Amino acid sequence: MRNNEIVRLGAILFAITFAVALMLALGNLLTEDRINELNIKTQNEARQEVLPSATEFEEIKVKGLGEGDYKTVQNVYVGKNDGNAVGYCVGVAPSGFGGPIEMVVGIDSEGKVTGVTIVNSSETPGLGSKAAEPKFKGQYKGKSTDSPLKVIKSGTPADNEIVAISGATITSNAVTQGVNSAVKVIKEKINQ
Amino acid sequence: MSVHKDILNGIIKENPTFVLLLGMCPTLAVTTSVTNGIGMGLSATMVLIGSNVVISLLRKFIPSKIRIPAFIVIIAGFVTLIDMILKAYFPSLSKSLGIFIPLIVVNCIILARAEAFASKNDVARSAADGLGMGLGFTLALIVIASIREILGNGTFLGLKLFGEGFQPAIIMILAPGGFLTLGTILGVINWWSQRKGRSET
Repeated sequence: MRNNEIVRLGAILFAITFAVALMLALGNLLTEDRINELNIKTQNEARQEVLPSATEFEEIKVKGLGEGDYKTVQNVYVGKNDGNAVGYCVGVAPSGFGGPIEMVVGIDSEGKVTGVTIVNSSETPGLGSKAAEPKFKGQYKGKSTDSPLKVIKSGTPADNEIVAISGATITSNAVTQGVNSAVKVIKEKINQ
Repeated sequence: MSVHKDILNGIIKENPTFVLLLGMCPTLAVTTSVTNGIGMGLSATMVLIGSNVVISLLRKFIPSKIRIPAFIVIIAGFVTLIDMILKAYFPSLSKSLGIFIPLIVVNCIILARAEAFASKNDVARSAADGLGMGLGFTLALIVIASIREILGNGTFLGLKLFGEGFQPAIIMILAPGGFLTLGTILGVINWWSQRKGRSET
């Protein structure tokens, strides 16, 4: 009798989990395509934002991403306009205060930074999250890539300097490191 | 008790956040902005109504020995479904609520209502209880989030309230601000209900 009871309970629990799994499979079927589409769209919009002169983007395979000096680099896209390369978009994810900061850096073919945008981050709201605001990320626009960018806490920034967000030095450093890594990849792997 | 009393019960008399003190983790974590509070509250309401209805329907079918795993599976199913819907149709909200949506699974309000109410009452009343509890939770989140967002960021629903001269108290949208706000509100509620001589059990 005791065994029968266990089998009965098991069967009921199985029936419930089976029904729930079926419902989830249906839900997944209905939303999966849209979620993927949205992800691709967000990334395309980020690329378009940092490299406005390009009309289409194509991923290029680069060896050694995710290792050594390129540890935070995730992908490299070439931006084209009428078939001519006008610059590159580099996806980087440097470690910030609250985990990796996923961002895209645009670099034109003359080696100038055309823009930075933050796709996803979990930085502290009100402090590190300000990195996504134009006041901070706009500073990178037009920077030359001849020497690595540095972060200063206050004052007037020189050509290769970025003013940190007050109270969020770690985030400011991380974003700047991300830009520097992106520049390094383009310099050393693409325009050798 | 009638259905509309069940709804009011969750909003005022047994408000899950301010009176029952359930679901404190999401309360403290998502109330950094009013938009997040509303999003979290409404998602939890949807899960609560869904799980309460299903559990009430199945209350004679689920043996009491395995009720907890059965409840958890049903709740987790609803949460995952809502997570997928938010990701597909409200991507920005889904992004800002992040990990807290999957964590609705372990929000004790939901399991508490399943155990204490839905498994003992009929479908209509369970749905009403879910709606009431959900709205009570949402309301509490909005109150806390309004205070924190206005003081800590100088905005309400993302709109700037003050001129450039206003220096927001950033501590209010950081973790300590959550505790400060919640503690103050609970203190005021207790003081008020004692003064009224209404001793709640």
